[in-house]
Amino acid sequence: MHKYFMYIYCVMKKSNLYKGSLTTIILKLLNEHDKMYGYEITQKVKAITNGELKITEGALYPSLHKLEAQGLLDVEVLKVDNRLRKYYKLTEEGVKETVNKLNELEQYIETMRALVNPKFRFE
Amino acid sequence: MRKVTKNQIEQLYTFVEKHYVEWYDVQTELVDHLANGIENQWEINTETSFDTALVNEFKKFGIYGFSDLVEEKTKALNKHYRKQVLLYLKPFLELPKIIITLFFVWALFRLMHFLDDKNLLMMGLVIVIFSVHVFHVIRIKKGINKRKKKTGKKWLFENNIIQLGGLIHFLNIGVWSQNLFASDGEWTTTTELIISTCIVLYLLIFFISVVIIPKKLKEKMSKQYPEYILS
Repeated sequence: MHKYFMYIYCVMKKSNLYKGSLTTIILKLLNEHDKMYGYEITQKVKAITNGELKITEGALYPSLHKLEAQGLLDVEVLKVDNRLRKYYKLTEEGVKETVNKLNELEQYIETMRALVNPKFRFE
Repeated sequence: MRKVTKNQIEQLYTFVEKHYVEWYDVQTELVDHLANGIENQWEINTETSFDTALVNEFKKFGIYGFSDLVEEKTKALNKHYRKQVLLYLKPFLELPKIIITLFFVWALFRLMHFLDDKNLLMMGLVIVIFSVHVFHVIRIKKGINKRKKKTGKKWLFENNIIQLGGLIHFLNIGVWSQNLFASDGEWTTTTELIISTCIVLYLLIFFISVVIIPKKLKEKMSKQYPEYILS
């Protein structure tokens, strides 16, 4: 888990590149947890990357809603304290998609590494 | 640890509504997010006032506030609606249900073939479809108003049902009606077959969009949100 986020962090630190990988980040986190809510996701990413990668609220919720619409996420609304909380969890299709997205991301990172440091390929 | 009170939760709902989010299904998620953010600030400094903490949290949504979020959510819901329509349509184009579809195409084709005044049939179809569509919109709007009056809540997904997930333009019979009436009165067998197929496909999509999907979405919503009352 930590490995993936450090890869993402190394490649995308303080850049906008993470936007394209936001879906993967969300899916990966949900794959590691039974269910999560929006705020929890932002805090988790912040904690794993030591605050270097911050998911903005304006980007997170549209992504979550898109994934829900695609049938990759299921929703559960529970009363917590004195308010309602919307939890997201992976559907069966979501679990499969997570594997695909992670493979894509790993391939991308390898390609980027080869481009940035060509010698790396022959070592 | 300092927690957001029930009264402050109500204030958050009012705040979100004032920032152009009138839909309860969207408000709920935002209210929880803001409340979590405020409580997080209180963990660092318990003396921060509720209003200051709220302003700080709202700033994180950027200069457009919640407006982008509602727009994106609407797009996502529309996409989901259309995806569902395709999902329910697919079996009618595959075995064994395609037999039913083909039967209706054949029946309509035969009817069209034997009728001298085909425009009369087309006119009847247009009137029926138009009436069902108007009835659907009135029924949904009535339900929305009734629920709003009873609970004070409006739901974004119901607005999507009225729009048929963006299919409202495609399913607007007025757009297609001029193509259904042959101006010169000449209908070849091929024309009749093509029109029969198009009408049956249109009716299937119309039925799924207007009857099946709204029912499924309402059932799903009532399971997710205990506050949503089916009526």
